[in-house]
Amino acid sequence: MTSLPDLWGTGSARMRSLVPSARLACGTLVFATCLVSPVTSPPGICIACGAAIGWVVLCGPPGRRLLALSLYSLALFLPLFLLTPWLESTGAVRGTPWLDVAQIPLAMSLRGTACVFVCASTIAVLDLADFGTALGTLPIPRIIKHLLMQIAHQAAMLTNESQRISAAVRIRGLPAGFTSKMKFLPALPTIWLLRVMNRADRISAAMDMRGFESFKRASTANFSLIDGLAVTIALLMLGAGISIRWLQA
Amino acid sequence: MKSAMSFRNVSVRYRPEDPFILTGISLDIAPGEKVALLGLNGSGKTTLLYSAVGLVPFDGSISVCDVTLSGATERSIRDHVGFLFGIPDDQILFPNVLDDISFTLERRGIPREEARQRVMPIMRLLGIETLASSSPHRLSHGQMQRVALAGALASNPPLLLLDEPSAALDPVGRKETAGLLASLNTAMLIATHDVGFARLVCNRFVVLANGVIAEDCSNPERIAGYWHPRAGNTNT
Repeated sequence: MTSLPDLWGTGSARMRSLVPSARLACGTLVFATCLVSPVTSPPGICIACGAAIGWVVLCGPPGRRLLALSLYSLALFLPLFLLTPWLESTGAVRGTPWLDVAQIPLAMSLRGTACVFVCASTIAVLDLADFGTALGTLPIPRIIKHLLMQIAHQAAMLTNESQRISAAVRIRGLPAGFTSKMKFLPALPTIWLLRVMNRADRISAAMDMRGFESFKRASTANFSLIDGLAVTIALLMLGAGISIRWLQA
Repeated sequence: MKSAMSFRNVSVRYRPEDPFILTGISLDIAPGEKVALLGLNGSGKTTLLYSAVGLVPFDGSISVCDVTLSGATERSIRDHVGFLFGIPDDQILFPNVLDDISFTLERRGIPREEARQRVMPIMRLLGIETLASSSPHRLSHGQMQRVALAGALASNPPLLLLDEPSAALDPVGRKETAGLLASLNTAMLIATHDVGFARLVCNRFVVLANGVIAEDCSNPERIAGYWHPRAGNTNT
């Protein structure tokens, strides 16, 4: 497993017994809960973290991937704490101004990490085909469905292409010497970008040719009781998050 | 249907300031006729295929199944054509092989389950029935080529435009694909530099050189002279 698209469909837990649209709807609602819950107060933290941890446990993504995601989140959000010396205390936490100012990066890190884990777990209980099926059955505009499906599908294709470029660079070797390497590295995004642009042109031609824009797949949503229950619980969590935020405002 | 495809004095250039890539191409393809479009790399084979379905601007007149190509007829003409792109993964638009192949029928109004059933025979013929539930991004280049070809063949179109259909296929797949294409009663224009493959499928050979038709014959021996000695890839 070397990239995010490789995570699709690797989850081993019970959530996979739900229909794809219920899995996607639950994942989206849990993600929204993490976004709206106020992570500056204990109840908000409980809701956001509880929802995220519960979702991860239910989805069961591979442990190694969870570890990699933790490191990724640390690398992404830890630098935010370097900004604390420049942040002004609001006086909310008396006697410990450093804790007061650390609340801002802490809230951002907590929310961001929760969202990353929820996204990864949702991906883990949907493979790309499930994702297409789920989008087809959810009541969202057709153009959005097509766009989301192509983003997921083409991201997987582009990841493969990027891995091929990376393999070619490794095999052919970077120029010797640190300065030469540094001069060469900025060229890599250009190579990648040009390939992506050319590919976008070709895919656009293929979509035109195959009549993709006029395609409408009939939706066949078959929600069972358990699917409905899962979506209802996710909705209640989102409702709780919104309520706490509203009460705090 | 008098003609499956007709080019009348077609010239192509991508931008007005560029030189013409193809000049004064005139070519008729009868229903059921199988034509190999041969030429060295960069000779304009793919450009001619693109112009046939309005993917590149052109001067002159092109008609497909007796309908003249224009902005108004472009969509209906494309619906009558099975097209295989040179890079097959570009035309695979769905995250599942079976969905992608059956899409060709679904967008013509055939219910999903029926479409999935109807594409199975062509998948079996191309040896990809075991890949039905696979994600395309996990396939090899040759497997993607077969999936894309199955998508082009699924609707049994009256005209097939195939860009390098034998590229990336293993020898067995190449022979099987050639046999399958030869058995179809469909007009086709196959852009290739694989002369051996062309001989297995086609009964007419058109050579493009320097943007014009340099040879149009039914005898494959006559086209050998157009292969530059340095290429050494006549595949005969």
